[in-house]
Amino acid sequence: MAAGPARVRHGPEDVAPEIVRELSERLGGAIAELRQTAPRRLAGTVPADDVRTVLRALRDDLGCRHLSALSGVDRGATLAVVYHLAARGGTVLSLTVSLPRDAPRLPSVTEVFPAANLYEREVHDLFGIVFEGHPDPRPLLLYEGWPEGEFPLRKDWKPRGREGTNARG
Amino acid sequence: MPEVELPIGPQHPALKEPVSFRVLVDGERIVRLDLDVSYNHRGVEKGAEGREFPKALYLIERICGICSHAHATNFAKGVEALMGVTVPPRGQWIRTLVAELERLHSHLLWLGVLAHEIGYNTLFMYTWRDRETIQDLLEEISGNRVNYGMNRLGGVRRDVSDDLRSRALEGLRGLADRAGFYSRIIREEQTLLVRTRGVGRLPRDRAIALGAVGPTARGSGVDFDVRRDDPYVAYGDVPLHVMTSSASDVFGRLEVRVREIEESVRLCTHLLENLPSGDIAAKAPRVAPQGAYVSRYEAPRGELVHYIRTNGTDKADRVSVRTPTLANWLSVVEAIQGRVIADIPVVVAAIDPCLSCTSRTTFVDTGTGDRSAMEWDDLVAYGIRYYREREGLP
Repeated sequence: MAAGPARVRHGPEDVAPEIVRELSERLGGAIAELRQTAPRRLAGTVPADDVRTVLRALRDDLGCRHLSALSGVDRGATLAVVYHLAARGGTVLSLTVSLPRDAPRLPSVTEVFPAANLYEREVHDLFGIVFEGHPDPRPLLLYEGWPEGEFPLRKDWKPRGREGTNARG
Repeated sequence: MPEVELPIGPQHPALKEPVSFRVLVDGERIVRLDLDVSYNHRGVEKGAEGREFPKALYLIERICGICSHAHATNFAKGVEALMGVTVPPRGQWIRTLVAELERLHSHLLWLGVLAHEIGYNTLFMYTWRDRETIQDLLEEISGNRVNYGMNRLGGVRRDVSDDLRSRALEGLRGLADRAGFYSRIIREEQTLLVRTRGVGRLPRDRAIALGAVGPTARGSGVDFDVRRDDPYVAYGDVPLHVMTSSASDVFGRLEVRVREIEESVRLCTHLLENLPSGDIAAKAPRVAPQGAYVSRYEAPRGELVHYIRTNGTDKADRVSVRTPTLANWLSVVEAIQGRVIADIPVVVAAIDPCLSCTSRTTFVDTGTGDRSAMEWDDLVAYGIRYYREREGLP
């Protein structure tokens, strides 16, 4: 049993600007629109084809060993997947991958981050985004009778009220 | 002997997502575990999109009954960051106080559940009695035993009076003794050691690769705690020790939680003794400008993530929630492999998913297709009997 050191008051120094410099030095232009959005928060965009390579480089060269979360987003004309990676100093790096609405596909990152397994299945269920090469692409969150091709977190999806119930449309 | 599929669940009302486990066994040994969490998707994320921020806060608080304050605070601080609202220090400290009281009630509840699963009901009674001290304090502070509703955008809803402060400090003094007692007995009590040591192994590198969070990760020596690493509310201004254990098994997860009980009692005492004066809330605007923010929080079960996108209106465009339990499932799947059926209750309970309620179990013999039903309680009893016989106890 080890107790970590008592924390330094008023929080750690924000190393996000330093990480921005490192990212542009080591990854070149792989991450576009890289910017700091808040204290300890970075955002950028990555093309779908590069996502596996970029995430591998972040894990191996920049010490981002924890994939905090994966979020699906409906932006109207396009869908998107946002990867939230924990970098050092409490920084979170959010990388957005834009996908065409009619064919939202991108490579699975489960071989780089096994933790992405359930997260990718969740995003597939709710947004209909396909993660190519996922080892176990079964439905995760929606029950077995859920109709195929209905993705409830897309903006154009509305819950259907059943006859005789008060379900809201 | 043919491999047998052993389904557990899905019905058990305590967990927000009912979960069914299908366990493939070869005799006593577990070959593979598969999980199904599809039974009760409630659409909270979709619901949050259609509601004004204060109403969405009310909804988000109801994602979880045990760590409701975690969800509400995480959402509130995320929206406040996007709105550019600064919460006054006293408001932040009261949020932190309720957060640590919530961790205490959650860890004590968990310790009782784990004790019950291994047939150690004396410890279950002790911890749930002590938990009542916390529940009474939470009720006095917030007005509620669950879903405290302490948060509003910009701060908290209720102040803590000086009178209440001294009563809370008295309750915490008693709990400090009890926490010390628990810390001592988990090292000495054979009932606990036999059922937790070496059970549900999760090596440090696997915990990291599988994305484990909270006591599940810290019990495998992963030194990660959002409170220290990405401080929020008042955590940047209070002395906090992060607890880890290198045991990397159920005992490690137990040790971390018990040490966190001690630490949270200290932290609550510090927060009450040094509570800054001033306002408890700032006025928050109705709308948030366009933006996106990743709000993180160390819930009792680990890192909780809310990704909030706003679009210049009074509603969120997207609220994406990643709960600690989802992050820890893969660790259960791995930690149970190669163990025996008798270990299922403790390994599952060790990530604290509140599974241990009313699930039923069905044994299916793949050779003959025969089914035999088994209640979760019977599985627990089976586990206790198995270890009793193995240890040669009467």
